[in-house]
Order: sequence, then C-alpha cells, then structure tokens
Amino acid sequence: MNDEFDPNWLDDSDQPFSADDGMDWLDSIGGGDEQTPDSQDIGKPSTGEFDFETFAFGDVDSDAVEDSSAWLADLSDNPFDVKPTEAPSEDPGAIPDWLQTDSEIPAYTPSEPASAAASEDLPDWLHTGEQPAADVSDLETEAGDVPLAPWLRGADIDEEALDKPAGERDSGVLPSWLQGADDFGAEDANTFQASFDDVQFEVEEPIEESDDLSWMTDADEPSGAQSDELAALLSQGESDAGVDDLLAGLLQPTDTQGEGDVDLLSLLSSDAGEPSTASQGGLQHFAEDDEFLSFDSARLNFDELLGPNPISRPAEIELPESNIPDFLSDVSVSEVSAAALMRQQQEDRPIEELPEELRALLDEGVSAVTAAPGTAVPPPVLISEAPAAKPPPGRRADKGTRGIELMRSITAAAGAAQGAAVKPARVRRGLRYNLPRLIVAAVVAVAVILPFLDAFESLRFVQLPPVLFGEKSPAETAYAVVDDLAEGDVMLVAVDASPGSLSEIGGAMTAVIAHARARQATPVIVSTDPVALVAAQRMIEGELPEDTHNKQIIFGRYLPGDSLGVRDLAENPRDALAFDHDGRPSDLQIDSVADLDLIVIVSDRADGIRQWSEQLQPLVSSPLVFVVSASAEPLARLYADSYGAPYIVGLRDSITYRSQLGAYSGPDGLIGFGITPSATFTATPTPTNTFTPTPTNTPTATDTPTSTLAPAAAQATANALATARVTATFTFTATNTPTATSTATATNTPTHTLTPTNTATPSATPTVTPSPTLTFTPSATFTATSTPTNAPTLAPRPGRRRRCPRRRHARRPRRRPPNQTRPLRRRSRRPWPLAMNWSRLSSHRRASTCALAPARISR
Amino acid sequence: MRLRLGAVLVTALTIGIALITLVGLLGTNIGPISAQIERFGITDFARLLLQFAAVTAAVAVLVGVVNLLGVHLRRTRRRGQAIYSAVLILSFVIVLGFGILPRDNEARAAVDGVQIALETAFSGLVLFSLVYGAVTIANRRPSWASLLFVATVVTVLVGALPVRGLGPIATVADWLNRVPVDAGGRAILLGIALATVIAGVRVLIGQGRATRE
Repeated sequence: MNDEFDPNWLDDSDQPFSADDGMDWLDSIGGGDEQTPDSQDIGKPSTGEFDFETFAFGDVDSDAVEDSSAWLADLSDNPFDVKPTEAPSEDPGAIPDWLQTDSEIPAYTPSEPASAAASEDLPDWLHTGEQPAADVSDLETEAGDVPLAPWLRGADIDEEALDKPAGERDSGVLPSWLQGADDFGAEDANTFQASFDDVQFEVEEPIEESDDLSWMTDADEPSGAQSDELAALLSQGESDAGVDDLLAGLLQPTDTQGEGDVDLLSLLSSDAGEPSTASQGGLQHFAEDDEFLSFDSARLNFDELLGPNPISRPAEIELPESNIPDFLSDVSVSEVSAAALMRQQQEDRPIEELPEELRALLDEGVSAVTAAPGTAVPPPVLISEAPAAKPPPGRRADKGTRGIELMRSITAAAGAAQGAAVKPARVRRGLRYNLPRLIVAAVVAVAVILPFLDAFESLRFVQLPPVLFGEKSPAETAYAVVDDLAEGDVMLVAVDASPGSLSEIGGAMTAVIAHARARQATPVIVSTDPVALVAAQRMIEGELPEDTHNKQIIFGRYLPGDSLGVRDLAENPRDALAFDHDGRPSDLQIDSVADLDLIVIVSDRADGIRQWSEQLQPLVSSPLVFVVSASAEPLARLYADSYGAPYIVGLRDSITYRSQLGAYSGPDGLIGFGITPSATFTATPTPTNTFTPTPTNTPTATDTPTSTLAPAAAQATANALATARVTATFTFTATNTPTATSTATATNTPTHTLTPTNTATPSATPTVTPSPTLTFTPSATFTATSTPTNAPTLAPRPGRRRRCPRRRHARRPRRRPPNQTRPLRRRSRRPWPLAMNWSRLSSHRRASTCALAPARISR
Repeated sequence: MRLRLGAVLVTALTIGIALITLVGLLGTNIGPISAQIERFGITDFARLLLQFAAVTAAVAVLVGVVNLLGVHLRRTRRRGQAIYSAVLILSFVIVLGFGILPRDNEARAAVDGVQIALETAFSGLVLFSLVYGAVTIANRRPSWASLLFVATVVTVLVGALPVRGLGPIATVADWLNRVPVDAGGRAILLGIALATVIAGVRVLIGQGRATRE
C-alpha cells in the first residue's frame, strides 16, 4: 500500500472530533441535515409508533445515494438488497458517465497538491491529512446509538482470522449463506435480507473490545480488489467524484467484503465496511443456532417493531425452511403479517405467563395511569424508563445500551411534557345506584316475600297446585300405574338428573318411591351419573330413613358409559343389579328386564330421556313412567305419547302427587297444600253425627276363627287385602252423605272447601280401621263379602249421589298368566304395622278425595 | 396406494366387532336367523363386548379423576392460580374421606350444602339469561325473527305463571308447547336418529374417523 495514501488519521484515535470539521461532505451524500445521523433523530418516536426500519438502519436514505451519482441509482433502497456483481464489462454503458469522460475524472498525481478550487470542496481532513480517527470513532459513537445487526454490534472477533489476508481467510467463519455463494453471495444476502424482512429483532450480545477499527490498522496490506480500488479512489484526490467513488467502493461488494449489505452509515461510522470474522461467526450462530428458531417472542413488542402493515419482501427471495421459525413456518408475509400473528400469540398469553420484565412494565404502566387519573396516557413505551443496569467496569458500554438510554430519556421527556400539558379533569361522581331500579327491586322483593307470611294471606293471589290430579291427566295415570304395584314387585328408578334439578323433581321422585314402598314394592335406584346417584340417595334417605336403613330400597351402582351403560343394564340386568352401591349383594333375582314391574325415568335433560327410553323400553313390556323437569317436558311428552306412558312434570306435579298420596298428612288426615295443620283441624266442625255407619261395622266381633287359618294362606290374605281395599273404596263412596255434596256450590272459597274435608275424617276413620285389622285374619275376606250387605244401609238418597272419581281407572290386568309362578323375589321385611299405617293413610286419602271432590281444580 | 398394516388391522377389527355387536344386540328380532344367532353364541359375545366397553368407560372415569388431580397439583405451583387448585384438591380429599371413613352425614352435608345448592343457583340463572338475551336481541337489531323469539319466550314464561286471569296466555303457551315445540322436538329426534345411523354405517364400512386416519 502506498504510504502516502495511507489514512493515518484512522490510526490516531486521540484526536478530538469536531462536528463541523470536515463533515460537510456528508451533507451532499446524506441529502441534507435531516439525514445527518443526529442523535435527536435517532429512534425518535414521532406519533407513538416506532419505525423499526429507520431505527435499525440509521438515517440512511436512498435518495442520498441517488443524488450522489447516477450509477448509485441502481442500488436498491434496501441496503441488504445487493445485486450480484458482474464481471467488468467493456460496455461503456455499464460505466458511469463520469468515468466515460476523461475530462471529468480528476487525474491523480501523488506529488501534486490539490487545486485550490477543488480543495475548498474537500473535507478538511483531506487537506491536512491529519484528520484523526476520532472523527470516525465519534461518528461511530453517534451512529452506534442505532441498533445494528447482531453481527455488527459485537461478537467475538477472531484476531487470527483478521490478521490473515482477505483472500486467505478461513471460509469456515463465514455464515452459511456466504460460504456457498458465488460472486459475493448476493442471492444469499438477499435471502438474509428477506429473513430480516420477516423477523426484525435484536439479540443482546455483549460488545467486545475488539469491535473497533483496529482491524483496519492490523491489516498490513489490504488485499484484493478492495484495497486497490480504495487506493485508486483515494488517489483521485479532491474531487467530489472521488468521494463518491470512495463511497461506491465501500458499498460495492468485493471478494473480501462479502456481505456488501450494510448501510452506509454503519460503514462510515463504526466497524463496518468489512465485517469481522467474529461478527460473521456471530451472525452465523444467530442464523443457524436454535436461538434464532426458538427465541422468546414475548420479549419483544412486535406490534411496535413491525407496525400494522405487512412487510414487503421480494418475491424471488425465499428463506430456507430450516431457518424459518416455527411461528412463521406456515404464514405468508403477503397474507398475514408477522405483527398480526405475534399479536394473536401475545393476546392469548395470560398476564401470569408473561416474563418478569414485561409484567413489571405492565404494572408500571397501570400504576402510572391509576396514580394520575385524567392524565393522558403516554405512548406505548418500547423501553422502560428505568435506568439500565450499569455495565461492569472494564467493559465498554454497549451501543445498543446507549441507544436505549437515549430512547428512555426521549420518552421520559415526552411523557413529562404531555403529563404537564394535560390537567387532570375533575370527575364529578353521580349517584352510585339508580334510584328507580332500587325502588323496583324493593317492590319485587316485597311482593315475593310477603305472601309467605300468614298475616298477608290476601296477597296470595297465585293459584296453588291442585290437591289432586285432574281426571285422565298424565299425572293421574302415573299415580294409578304406581298404585298398581303389588308386594314384591320391583320398580326400577333411573335417576338421570343433575343434583340441582332434584330440587324440582326430587319431590316427585321420593313421592313415587314412597308410594311404591307403601305398596310393598321394592324400588331399585340406578343412574348413569354418579353424583346424581349420591344426591338421590341422600334425598331419599332424608324422607324415607326407615326403608333406607332396612334396605327396602336398593341403591344400585353407577352405570358408566351413558347409553352404553343403559344398554348394558338392559342386556345384563343380573350383573348390573347384582350389587348395590356399597358393594353388598342386592339379593335381587332379576334375570331379564322383563322381570321389572315398573320403570320410572327421572330426568331433567332430553338426552337422559332419550337414551333411557330408546335403550330400555323396547326390551321390556313393563309400564313406563316419566318424572321430568319442566324443561324436559317437550321431549318427554314425545316419548310418552309414543309409548303411551304417563308423566309427572315439574314442581307443581310433585306437590300434587305428594298431596294426593297423603305425604303431607297430619295426625288426623290429609292436609291440603298451603294450609297449616292447625288452621285445618281446629276450625273444622265435627259432623260426627252424620256418619252413622259406625255402628254397622260390627263384623269385627264375628272374625274369630283366626286359628282356623293355616299359615299357608298368607298369600291369599295378601290378595284379599287388595280386594278389600277396592271394595272398601266403593263402599266409602256410598257413605258420602248429601250434606257433603250439597256444599259443592260453596267450594270456590277455601273455607267451604275445608268443610267437607273434615267431614271425611270421621267417615274414613271407622271404616278403614277395621280393614287392616281384617288383613291379619281370614275374617278380612268375610269383611269384604259382608261389605255389600252394609252398602244398602249406607246408600245415599237417589239423585244426589256423587261418586268418587277415584279408582275409575280399572286395574291393569296382571301381565303374568295365572298359571305362571312368580319368580322368587326379594322378600319384603316391612313390618305389618307400617302396612296398616299405609292402609289407614290410603283410606284417609280416598275418603278425603271424595270429600274434596267438589274442590278439585282440574289441571 | 400405500396401506399400513396397523391401520388395516384396526379397521378390520372395528368392522368385525361392530358387526358382531350389531347382530348380537338385534338378537331375537331378526326373524328366522335368531335361533342361529343364539346357537352360535353371538348374543352372549355381544353382551360380553358390551360389558367390556362399560368397564372401559368406568376406568376412563377413574383415569380422568387422576389426571385432573395431577393437573391441579401442577397448577398449585403457579402464582395466582394456586389457591383454586389447592381448594379443589383439599375438597377432593375431604369428600373422599367422607366416603371412606363415614361417621355421620358429612357426605350428605357436602352434597346437599354444596353440590345441590350450587346447581340450583345455576339453574336459577337460566331465567335471567333468557331475559337478558331477549333484551339484547330487542335492543340490537330488531327483526321479525328476533321479535318472534322474544314474544315466544314471554308468552311461555307468562303462561307458566300460576296466576289467575292469565287463561288466554296460558292457552297460547299450551298451544305453543303442543304444536310447534312438538314438531321441533320430533325433527330433532329424527335428525339424531339419522345421524346415528350414518355414524354406524360409516363405522361398518370402515369410513369412521378412528379407522380412516
């Protein structure tokens, strides 16, 4: 290298730099002051959005390059868009104009001083030749505030590789996109540029001391075309064209400056120009390492960095798939921007999963807003205002860190200015609650609560559920079907309702089970929902503790698999019902579902009704009863109509069923819903005298041949019991005196309705009491036969008779032929007194039914 | 066309079992061949398969419970969500203890006081959801369909009230339940039946999702 043209000012780093000393020539390049790398311009957020591209590549403007010379117009405005260098051509058209004319090319003569005219346009440092390298270093300092590509900002520099001539340097330190490239690897450079179009982010890497211009001095002889060209350009001396050529040479990719894709400012300011091998290694590490593929996107605000618009990318450039991160692998930039994609990813992440620094930033922002209500919200801050950690001693401050500090100071100043400009508006608080709404809510609450108080009985304008079911109503049919159960019958109760819905239909369920137990049948509870099974068990235990504890009610096991479990029960009832929910043998002898005498489906959802009906009903001939909620009624009605099955719907039917069953009976008989026992039985008259049949029930004295009955006649006694019940019912029908029926006109008022109720009490008491007594002895048979003899004495006057509507439904014929023996069933261990109690209650109910017939409210 | 041995085996197994189960469950309802089905034990084999499936479903429930516990055990290490997971695990242990070591009616208290109460409360919210939905529909963009929806909801709700003097509305509500609702319900059931048949046929011909992939 010619020593005379050795830029020794590059070696002298101690020389201070003057901003107005010799940098005028940059104005002609950069296109004016606004393009000068001024710290005030770097990264300054203008409208709250951060222009990453400007921030990343400094203030290099393509217009500046175009203004310099015409051939620079061929350069892309993108510093990474490097075209393949063509071989030197003889075509004059490929040569810039100023090169084609000899007169425009200033001849360089090393010994001759520059002309005075030309020297005026040259930088001062070219005049003296002593311009210190500090100029460049200071320029580097300012330009270093901008974030650079990772391989420009640091990384380990391989000194040995730098010492080698450019042509001898190990290609292994080059990035992969440079190693295989012919002719400066322009296409790979474009690929790399495309990758930066897709993903632009910073990778924090510590800066090394070697990241300076020392490589320029260490190189003894710059080899290759670059050094020659640089020397030639420098030798051109004072003309502007020479400066342009110098810059063009720096921009022009050479064999030693493989990338050629750095921005102008970086080339002039810092360690650019020829990336060090260490930087190349860092870049290669960055591009090939897993960190590039799995970096934490949450650490960057891509909305701010990339902006709302998708970043354009040259169509011919494709990034190797191996280098494409996962989050961008199936996304086209032209269709979905990376910012949008990252925005979606970031929105999906809860706050708790954000990194600590982002959460701290968020908390800081929230606290700032809440601390000063009314103040304007500062623009989104990319960098927190907290001071960065001080670099460790002996380590030069990172240029990126200085840039962050600068950004922080700018945003802090902007936020302070806006905060000072906007005064917090005084917010006047109005009423916290809306007064009309409060009034309406209070009125509604009062209207709901007061009717429950007896003092406000007049507010009970809502119709109460009927005491008895309407004639031929589905619920009445259901009651009759359950009432047909006999001792030893097995009733399957399929509970497929949520525990919450049991509050609505649980009353009907327990009433049906109590009714079956009163008929000495055996209820078996199963469910496809384990929670519902437990809830049903608790509810039944609460109402029928004795039957539950005595295992008169069997709680089967949970049937898994929904419809599969139901089908399993239908196909394998012996196995499915072999054990109860506690794992104890159930002692049920069920070989087929056809052995079930009644199936009750308790459900609050359409699916439950559907699966139980479809999987079980086709296999059985037993009657089916639905106990469903009001919400499931429409679908249950469809199946009920198809199967001819009755159904009980909702809370009102539950109350009516219990009322009709007598579950609300007090010590003296049936109690209507909504009427307290004391009010019922204290205010009633005692028309005992009207029931004269009492002395006629004397056959009890004749029932003495108890010993004549053999124990084998127990079954016949049980059968006689049912016959006696039926007979007795009709007998009591005849006992209705005209007094009771004559009050039918007054039944509209509750007062009159209660009156016949009381009349039924004495009538039922004497007549029913002997019937269970007779069931113990064969005299009951005689009682039944003797009933008709009593009937004429109890016959009412013709024309005023009112038959009790009860028992209008004929008893269903037994499904089993008479000659077929009943399979062995679980023996009922219910004590007889309970059966007596049931008979008493049943008689009470029937008598009351007759008495209450005028008061019946049809549904 | 490339066939994988495993996929072919799974498909053949699925089709075979499906056919055996179908024929076995049809049982005695398919005329003269019912006796043959019974004689070859296809019905019993189908019932056995059914029991296998039911047991598998029960085990799946147990596995689900264990998995749920594992997930919440891991979540107890997270900030902000640990309390909920800890409460769930503690509740599980307590209720399990009620079942294993019963003393009194603790389990009943847990079911009645927590489960039923909560579900009842949620059921009560259905009314508010309906009313809110009706108001929202009426406010946003009234159309004939939305007005019809709101009018139907109001009519059915008012018709269900046991208040005297609402006889005409109750009659209209009863008609709505009898005619349009029944028609819609039957349409839904027909759709379910057709979909079930199609799903079954797809399994039988090897086009089910599990066997196709």
